[in-house]
Order: sequence, then C-alpha cells, then structure tokens
Amino acid sequence: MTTLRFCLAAALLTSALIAQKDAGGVPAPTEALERGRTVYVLSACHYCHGVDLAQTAMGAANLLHSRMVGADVGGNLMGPLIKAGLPALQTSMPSYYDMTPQEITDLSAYIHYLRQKGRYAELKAAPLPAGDTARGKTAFRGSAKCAGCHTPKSLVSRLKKTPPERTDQLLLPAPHSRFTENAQPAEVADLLAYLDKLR
Amino acid sequence: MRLEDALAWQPPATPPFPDTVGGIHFGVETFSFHDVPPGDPAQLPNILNGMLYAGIPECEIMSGHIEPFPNSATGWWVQTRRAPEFPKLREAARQWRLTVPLDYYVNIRKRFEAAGLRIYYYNINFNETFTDAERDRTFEAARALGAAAISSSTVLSEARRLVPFVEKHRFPVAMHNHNNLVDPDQFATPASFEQALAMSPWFLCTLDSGHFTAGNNDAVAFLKQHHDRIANIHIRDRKRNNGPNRPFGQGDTPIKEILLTIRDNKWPVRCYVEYEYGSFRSSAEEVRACMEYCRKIALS
Repeated sequence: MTTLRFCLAAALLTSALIAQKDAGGVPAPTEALERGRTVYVLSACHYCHGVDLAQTAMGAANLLHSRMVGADVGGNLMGPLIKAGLPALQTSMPSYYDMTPQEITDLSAYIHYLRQKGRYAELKAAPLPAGDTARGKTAFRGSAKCAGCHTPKSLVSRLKKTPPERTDQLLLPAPHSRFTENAQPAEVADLLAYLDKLR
Repeated sequence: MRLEDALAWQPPATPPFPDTVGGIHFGVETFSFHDVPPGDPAQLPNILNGMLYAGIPECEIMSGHIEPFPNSATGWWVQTRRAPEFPKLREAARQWRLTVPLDYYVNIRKRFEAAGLRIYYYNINFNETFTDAERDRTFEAARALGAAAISSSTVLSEARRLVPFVEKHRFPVAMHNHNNLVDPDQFATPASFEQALAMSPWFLCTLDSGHFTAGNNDAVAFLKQHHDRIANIHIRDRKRNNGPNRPFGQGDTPIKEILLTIRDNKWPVRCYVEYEYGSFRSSAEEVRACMEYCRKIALS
C-alpha cells in the first residue's frame, strides 16, 4: 500500500506539473493575437491542428504548409471554410457557423502568426540547396515580390554582413511575413545568392 | 488540477469510487486526456491520475495511450497513409504488436487494478492496413487488458473482414460512429450501424452521441431501439448540422434524456464521458466537470 501511495503521489505531482502549462500552448505577444489564440483554443482547433500548427491529428490539414492558408488575407479564404466545416472528411471538421466576423479576423491573424513562426523555424533549420543568382533576380522581381518595396540599389547599403544575418533579414516574419509563410527552400537560396551578389 | 491541490489531495484507499451513479455505469474514453501525448506509454500514470481526480472508475483505453507509436502509424486516417514514411512506420507498429509479450498488456491491466480502476473497453481502430495476424493479436491484447469488448472507429468494409475474427475469438467489437454522411462505408447513421449488427451477434455499437447528433440523427430513438446491442455511449455535446463540440449542456446532444432513459430502464449501457471542446484548463479538470454534469443528472 505504501508503494501504491508513493506511485500515485508521484503520478499526481507529474500530472500537476503538466497541468501548470497553459493548455492552449504558448501565449501570443499582443492583445489582438491573444484574442485569436482564445478563439483557436476554445474552438478546439489545437486538438487536430496542434498548438503550433505542426500537428495533423485525425487526418487534419497541415496548416503550416496549406496553400489555402498561405494565400489567405485576413480570413477571406479561411473564414468561409471555418463556417462551413468539412463534413465529408473521414473525421469531419465541424462547422463553426456561429463564429462572428471579428472572431474570424482574430483567428486568422493568430493562425498566420503561428505559421510565420513555424515556417521561419523550418526554413532556418532546413539545409538550403545551392542558390542561383539568375533565378534569385527573377524571384526578386516576381514571385517573392521584393521589388514592390525595394530596388537592388537601395538594398546594397542595408544588407547585413554575414549570411546568417542576411537570412534573418529575409525571413524574419516582420515585415516579410507573407514571403516567410510561403517561401520554399530553393527560392530562399536563390534570393540569398542574388543578395550576396548585390553586395 | 493546481499543484497545491495535487499535493494536498491523497488518493483514497480501496475502492476509490462506487461502481455506479444513480444506477448508471460511468467511464471515460481516454482520448479525453488531450494533454497526455499518444505514443508514450510512460505517460500512463497521468491517465490513472486523471481518472482518480475525475472520480471515474473505468475507461475505454485508446491504443495510442498504451502503444509506443502514435495513431498515425496505424493507418486509421487515410490521409496519414500518403506520407512517404508511412509504410515503414506501419510495418514497425505491426511488428511491435505481433511480438510484444501479452504480459505487457497484463501489466497495464494490473496498474489500473492496483489503483482501483478498470479498463472496460479497448479502443483500437481496425482498418485495411491490418494483417490477419495483427487482427488476431488485437483480440488477444484486448483479453489480456481485461477488456469486455473492443471499441473501434472503423468502416463497414472492415467490419465484413472482422466477422470471422469475432466468431473465432468469441469476443465483441463495438462499432464507433462519426458523422461523415457522404461516405457510405462510414458509421454515421442508424442504417450503417444496423448493417454491421446484422453481420454478427458479436458486433455491438459504441454510440457516439455527439457525432450522432452532429449528423442530425436522434440518439435517444436509436438507444430505445438498440439498447441491447449498445456496449457504451460516448457522452459529449455537439451542435447539430456538423456543429462544433460544446461544453456539456451547451450543445444539441440530448445528454439528459440519454442518461435518464438508461437509468430509468435499468439498461446495462455504459456511459463514457468524452471531453473534446476547447478549454484553457487541464483535461483532468474538464473531464471532472463533464462527469459532474452527468452525476447531477443521474442523481436527479
């Protein structure tokens, strides 16, 4: 009986320590994002999609790599899907038909925030292939949409000195959040090669 | 549970809880303990602990809580089968199941018994990636766990494959429903359950009252018609029209009517709470709140 009591007490302590963690994951850094996290957690999104979008339980979509989430702006694509649900899945995604427009806006912002964090960590950890300066130049003007804000000339003096710093300059979510959410390793490598050449 | 509560609270001597509340046998589907990661049997004390804290004497234990690999390695979700590494993970899971000594399961049963708890159903999701040897072994594992039946989220095509196995092992399998009304192979309607029940007397139902309601079915009507073939009911609250999970009492599932129908008719249908709505509190706290909701109804 003494052993049993000890085991149960140890188990209790372990469980209590686990329970000290926020059941919704890492708190968000701003009030607006925290509102989004509240919607995410209270709607139980994290049971299937994970507290960091990296989980795909019960056949859920991988929101870290979903093209639809990458193309979404302010919930314009996610919102209708969240309200309609996906009833034809093996284990269906519920329909959150009573979610308000404000809740969808907040939820969308939080999902994009998680995705930017997750994609940044993935791209920083991924072994990048050899970059191609010509493709990097094309991406600069095209798919990566750098030319909307920068000219190559204006960037030369602002580029950081070391490759890791330049990688951060390119990938840190603000102000490059949309790029970070959608970039592929090859595109990152090409852009870095092009920026290296500019220096 | 807060740390100070855990330290102050001592588990009771035997037995921890009465077998029934208001004549109803209550239990918990261990899926409810969302903060216990699947694929890590070392976390088992947290399941025992959660049940003790919630005052629930028996459970339907999810295979992911006692097998050393996540459910994604066992082929239930069709989407997970598309992963490049799936064949290797699946084969590793299969080999583990075929070679782990049955004492492994017996020891798990003994850990529950030592805490005054019981595994009543083994929840493992049969699917077409199972080999026949694996199906056989699953029945042996369920017996070793001390389970009275297997509860399975499966499909009608797999139920047909299982008929010779339930007959051979003379061991029941209870089909668990979701609410996919589009795929005719899924358990989601009274008709889909009835097809399986007609295949073998060893087939029963695990009626998930939340999914059943979300699929716009009438759980009370189904209970009244098939109570003698229902092993257990998953008690959870969902809105109709594929609506979301809600805290108990806030959805459309007729929880009160289900519990009172079972109680007043003295049917031996076990009622297992399943916590799946969102919360910032720990799973143990929410399971306890779900159980409290049911307890009040059962004692009303």
